[in-house]
Amino acid sequence: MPRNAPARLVGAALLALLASCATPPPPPPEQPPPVPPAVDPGPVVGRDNDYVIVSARSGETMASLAERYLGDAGKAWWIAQLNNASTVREGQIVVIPLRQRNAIGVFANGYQTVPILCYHRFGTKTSKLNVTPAAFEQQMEWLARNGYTVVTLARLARFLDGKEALPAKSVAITIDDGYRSSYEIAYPILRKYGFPATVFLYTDFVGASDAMTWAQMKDMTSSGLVTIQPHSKSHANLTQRLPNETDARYRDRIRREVDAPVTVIKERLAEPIFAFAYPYGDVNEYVVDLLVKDSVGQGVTVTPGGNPFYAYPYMLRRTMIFGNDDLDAFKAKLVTFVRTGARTP
Amino acid sequence: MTARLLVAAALAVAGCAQVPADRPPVQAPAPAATLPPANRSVADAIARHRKLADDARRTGDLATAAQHLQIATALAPDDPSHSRELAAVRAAIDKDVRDNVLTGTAAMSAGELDRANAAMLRALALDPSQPDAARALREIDRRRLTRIQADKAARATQQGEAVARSSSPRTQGEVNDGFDIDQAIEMLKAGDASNGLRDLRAYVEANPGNRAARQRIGNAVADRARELEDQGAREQAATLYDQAVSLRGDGNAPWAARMTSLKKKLSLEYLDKGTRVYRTNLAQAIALFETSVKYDPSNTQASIKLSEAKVAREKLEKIK
Repeated sequence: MPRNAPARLVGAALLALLASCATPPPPPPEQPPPVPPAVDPGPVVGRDNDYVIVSARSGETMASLAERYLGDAGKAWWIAQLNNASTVREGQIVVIPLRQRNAIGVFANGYQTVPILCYHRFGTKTSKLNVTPAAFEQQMEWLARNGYTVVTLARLARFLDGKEALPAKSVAITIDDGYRSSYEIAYPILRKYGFPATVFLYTDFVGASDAMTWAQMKDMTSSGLVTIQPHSKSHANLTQRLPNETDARYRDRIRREVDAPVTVIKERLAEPIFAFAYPYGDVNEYVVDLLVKDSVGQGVTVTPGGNPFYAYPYMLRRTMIFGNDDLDAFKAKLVTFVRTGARTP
Repeated sequence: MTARLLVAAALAVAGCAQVPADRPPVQAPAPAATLPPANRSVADAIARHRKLADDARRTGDLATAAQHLQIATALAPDDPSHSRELAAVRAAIDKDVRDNVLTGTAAMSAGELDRANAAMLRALALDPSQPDAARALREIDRRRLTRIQADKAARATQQGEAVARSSSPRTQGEVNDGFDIDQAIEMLKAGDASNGLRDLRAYVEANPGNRAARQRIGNAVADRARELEDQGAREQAATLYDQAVSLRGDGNAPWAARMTSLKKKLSLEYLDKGTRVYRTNLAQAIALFETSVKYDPSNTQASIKLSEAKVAREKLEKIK
């Protein structure tokens, strides 16, 4: 007999004992009514048409909640903003807004504004319109580290229409003229941070020694991060008449200044045109009429300040970033909320 | 080992014994102690949202109060107190929205845009979907921005007219913020000389008395000329130097010596070229001597050669 034979006998007896005390299985139920498929109702602790309220499970994040309940992890900020929190811990009650009821960003104590930053040139030369690579990198890093969301002008357009809420600290980045440094210096930094930008090009500039080439522009637009939009043909001030210029000649000239770059950029880069930057930020009703006729929905000036949801889309404010702006000056230009009352949202 | 298994078997048998039916059920502990963590948090959450609603209501922020009451209602649908209070707050919101839109509309009619703006913002803070308030705010912003642009254009026109009326120099304080100059200088530096110079010329014509700005413009154009000169584009450089002198508008240019030297060199080169083609192509020689004199009117040899060439051309024409 093997050495462990007694133990086997006892084990068999134990199993027999346990089997004998098991309750006999109940008779199979009659045909059960159809039930909806289980959807793990466990963490949902409340729900109505506007909110679902859950008890967060272990390992849950704002993004995973947004993915599950809103179908888009990119809407994590909806949850973060409503719950005034950036992280989730197990067992925490989290309110998930199923829709944005306040897409316009107006609150009892103030309203949201979106600054559009306006750059021109990048490089080491000292000049008001020339931002050094180090300063640009520092500014972008600061935006990334401090919870800013860089949005496209197309997203801004939806915010202005009241169709899409934007995160509380949203900014847009634009670069005027089409300097080669936009490609060689700014673009790699924008790519590093995944920040979208709009380059406003005056098309006569292409071919100049410091201008971007069409191939460089194509490279940027095909990344999906940068869009090229018109900034006139020759960078002439669109509101100023030439000496002794008749009304008819002025209108002809300005029509060319508006239409030519729209056509050229469409042809060269196959870019949809939706925005126009006025040289020197100057615009009049005639120019706006031309943009409306060309189905261009946005015009940007250099009137400083942020854009609330009700901003006039053909005279959007832009904030110039200068070469002599230090980081504090840069921060001061990022006005994303204008207070009108005493409470914070 | 066997003994341990026997003990386990005994325990197992004991474990499957039925509880007597007459034994009282285990007393439920107090709710706070027995609620699982999620339910305890739900109770906390209801209390928190009620408090946030009360706080918001006290400060007059009815929209936030309604939001928290709605969440409390969703968390405790069987408690009618939350939904009752929510209904009351929503009724107050409706009334305040109507009042603010009326106030804003009246203010707009009276041309009081600031008051209208504030009232419409209050309406939208209560009801972000209020269409009349949104429309009014958009119209107010359009008017304000259009006014800013019109004022800018008027200032530019006034400056132009003032320049035309009087040649009296303008003070430095009358310059704009310098942006136009910077932009045009950047264009020039970037190789877009024609558009850059066009805008710099326009600025100087509008602000002829601004000595500081004109010096800056002249020096920037001269810097670009020097760059071109260093790159070997000496004739373009000479043209830009001329523009720099004209834009600067005084005789104290620090780069004047370099410009003069370049022009003298160009003048000598054209004199040499003209001399070489003089016997074979008189017309071309005349053009080259003229260019030589243009670059350096004090180049007497070029002037003499030009005169000689012109006389020779007249003689030839007579012979023909």
